[in-house]
Amino acid sequence: MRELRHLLSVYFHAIGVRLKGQMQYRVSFLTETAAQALVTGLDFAALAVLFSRFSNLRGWSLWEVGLLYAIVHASFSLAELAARGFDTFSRQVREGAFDGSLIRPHSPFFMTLCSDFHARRLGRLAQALTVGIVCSAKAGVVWTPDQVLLFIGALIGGACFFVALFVIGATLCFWTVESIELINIFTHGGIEAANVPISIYRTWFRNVFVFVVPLAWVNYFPALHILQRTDPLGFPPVVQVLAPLVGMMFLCLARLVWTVGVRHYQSTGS
Amino acid sequence: MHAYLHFGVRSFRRAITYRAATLAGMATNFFFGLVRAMIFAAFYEAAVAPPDMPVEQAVSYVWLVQAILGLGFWPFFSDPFIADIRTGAVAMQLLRPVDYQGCWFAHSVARLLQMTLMRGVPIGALAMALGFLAPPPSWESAGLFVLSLGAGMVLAVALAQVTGAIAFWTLDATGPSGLMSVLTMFLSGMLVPIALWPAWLAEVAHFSPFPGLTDTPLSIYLGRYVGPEALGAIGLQWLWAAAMLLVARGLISRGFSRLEIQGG
Repeated sequence: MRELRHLLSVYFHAIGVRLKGQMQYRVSFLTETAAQALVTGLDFAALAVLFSRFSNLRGWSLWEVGLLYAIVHASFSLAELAARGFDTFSRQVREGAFDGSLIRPHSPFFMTLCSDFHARRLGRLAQALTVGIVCSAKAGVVWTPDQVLLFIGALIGGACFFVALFVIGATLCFWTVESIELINIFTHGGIEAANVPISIYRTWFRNVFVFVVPLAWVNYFPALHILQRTDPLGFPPVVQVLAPLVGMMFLCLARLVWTVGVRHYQSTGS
Repeated sequence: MHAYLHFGVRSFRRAITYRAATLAGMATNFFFGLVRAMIFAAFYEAAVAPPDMPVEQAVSYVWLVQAILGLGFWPFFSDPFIADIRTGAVAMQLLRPVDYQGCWFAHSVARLLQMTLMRGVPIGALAMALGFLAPPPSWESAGLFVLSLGAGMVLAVALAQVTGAIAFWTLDATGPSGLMSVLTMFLSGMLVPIALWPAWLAEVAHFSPFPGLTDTPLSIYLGRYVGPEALGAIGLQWLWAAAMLLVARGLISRGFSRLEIQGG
């Protein structure tokens, strides 16, 4: 327990230093945060335009879809806030900076976690949460304590899911040195796919996001419970409540893959 | 003229070196195409009154957007000429016996050409082979599409130059570029074809240069604009492109006249 508290204090100290650094160019920081919020808000604007032309999306209203949108965007921005170091990891490998992490008193996993903090993503987080609050009100969601708990669980599970993808992408760099950016298919592509209910996709495609890359668990299933909708896919209701745990399990799996990767690491020497 | 051509060829060669990045980018674009096509198809199921754009055209449109994505998007990011303004390396440009805007233009057009040829053509061909993307209805449409795409490239570079030139005043153009790409992504019709927009919003877009980056060439490809209407649309693209290049020229020359290079 004491060790955990120590790790947390080191982590928040590291984040504080990065935050201070990024706030030095204040105008640039503010415009970029605003631009971040606007760019990511576009996806929602596009959905709104489509809903103005078509009455519904397989029985879902704009406000219900908006909750899915909010969960996936908020999760992703939390992941990028906290674990951006893994997202930009290829640079560390290429420049040999990772060597430094190996000789620190903490694990390389923890050191990489502390290595970057992307404060501008706060714009995206604020935007996503605003959309979530407005849409859930319009969709008539009754926020009982257990609903709120499930919502927060979905955000945390979703953040774990995206961090896991970053970690897997970073692990690939141990072999390829260059970032091959193939993981973008599942991060950015996953956000795009999870903006709308996963049930509208063809079966094979949907199964990828249920069974292989478990995005549906941290987004679609909890949203069904919050919106009190029945699942057209026919999964048992208990799945909806326990779903966020799958995101955390996915992160544990990624952590194992990472450990294998670190053992394989050879410095570029630069 | 020869110098700019040479400069462009060099930029093109440098851009085609990163093949792995191009492949990964293509895979991502292909994935987005699949997702968006399925979303549009699902929306069309619930059409009360069928829109005047049939679902086949909407799906083709989605795939074409993935193929020519670079046009509305790429020129605003990681432009070395904008970075030069911040670092002060731009001063070197003043020593060269060639026009600064001309070099910038040649470089950006070459990069866009590379994107369109190396990413766009394979994605378009693959989507067509799999039956997701319908070929243009006539040879005339195909020819006019190529013309319109060319005009769109020039327009894209012109808009990026206007945005980038702001860096002469702010040093860092990340903020302005970000805001510009918001406008571009939405108003160009990259996300939703303008034919599916509410009328008042479509009106707004048609008074801006942005549809020329995506919606105009794609409407021509799909045969929604034909004959004189298509030619008029292409003329409008060139008009906007010329106007934006002139604005950029004015900004750049003003920028140079007040330029202070930070030492170091």
